[in-house]
Amino acid sequence: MLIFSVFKTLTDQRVTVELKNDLSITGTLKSVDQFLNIRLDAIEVADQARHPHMMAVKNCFIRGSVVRYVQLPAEHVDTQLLEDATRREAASQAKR
Amino acid sequence: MSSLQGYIDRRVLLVLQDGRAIVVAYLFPPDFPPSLPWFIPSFLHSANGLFLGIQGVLAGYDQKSNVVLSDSKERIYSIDEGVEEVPLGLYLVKGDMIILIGEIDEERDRAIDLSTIRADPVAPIRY
Amino acid sequence: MDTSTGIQEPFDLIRLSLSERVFVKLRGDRELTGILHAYDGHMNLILSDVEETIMLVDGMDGAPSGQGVVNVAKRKMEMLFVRGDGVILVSPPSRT
Repeated sequence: MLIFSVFKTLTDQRVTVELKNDLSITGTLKSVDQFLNIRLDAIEVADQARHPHMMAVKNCFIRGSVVRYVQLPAEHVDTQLLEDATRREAASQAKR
Repeated sequence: MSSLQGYIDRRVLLVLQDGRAIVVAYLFPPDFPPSLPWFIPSFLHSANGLFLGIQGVLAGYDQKSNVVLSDSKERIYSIDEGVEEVPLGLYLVKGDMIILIGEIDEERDRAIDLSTIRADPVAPIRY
Repeated sequence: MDTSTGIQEPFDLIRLSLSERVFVKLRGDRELTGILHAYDGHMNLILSDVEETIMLVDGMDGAPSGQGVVNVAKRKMEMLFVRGDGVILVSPPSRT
């Protein structure tokens, strides 16, 4: 739930999603769900000469399970807040 | 997967686990009759066994994000020749095969001369 | 044992590495180093100041093992979400 919340705070920011087939898609984060499926708007695919398959695609839905990385806008990530939230979540898991 | 909602009745591109790209003319609504016999597509491969791609309209989907495609075409990419479009027609694609669904800008799509595009197929997903 | 700082289970080791530079080994011959800001039970991670190393082995078929030429590609990323299913190990900073 923690990571899901982080993505929610990044709605409307530009992110780059790298898939497990090396395809790299940059777009505006429109939504994310509990499976970390991602919807991007105004997409651009890196190295379009090699990956022309999505030239006419304007927005897309990406299955969470095929994501390798998501590059996030560092200026919109509060690392201190993240660490505190992670410790809190870890503590609540440990109690169970 | 409620996020698929926006793609119903649109012209979309599906990219599958193995790298196939399918263009779909329309996705069916979610209450698409479950009694309908759904066909698991047997996808097309090039002579050397490479899978190429599939395109069409998203016709519908259900809880598992299985989708029904109408008027779908597979786009087969090759580094040696232009893109080949193979008509598939009405298809059901299992949700877990789909890695990406994208809405196609029809104007942009029409402006592309597929016969001039040279590219390898999308790489398959490797976990 | 003090449950707030002691290491009782594997995830405690990761918790104690928060805000420190960690080494992460991933599937597909990839390695990362970066500062750990968040993780969850799936080993999803958020790292900053990341350097990725990709080992590309030009495996000549039939060559004795260890004879292949290893090409190393490196790149840097400012803030990165790493999906947990690709993570093989997370190693805390060396304390030497």
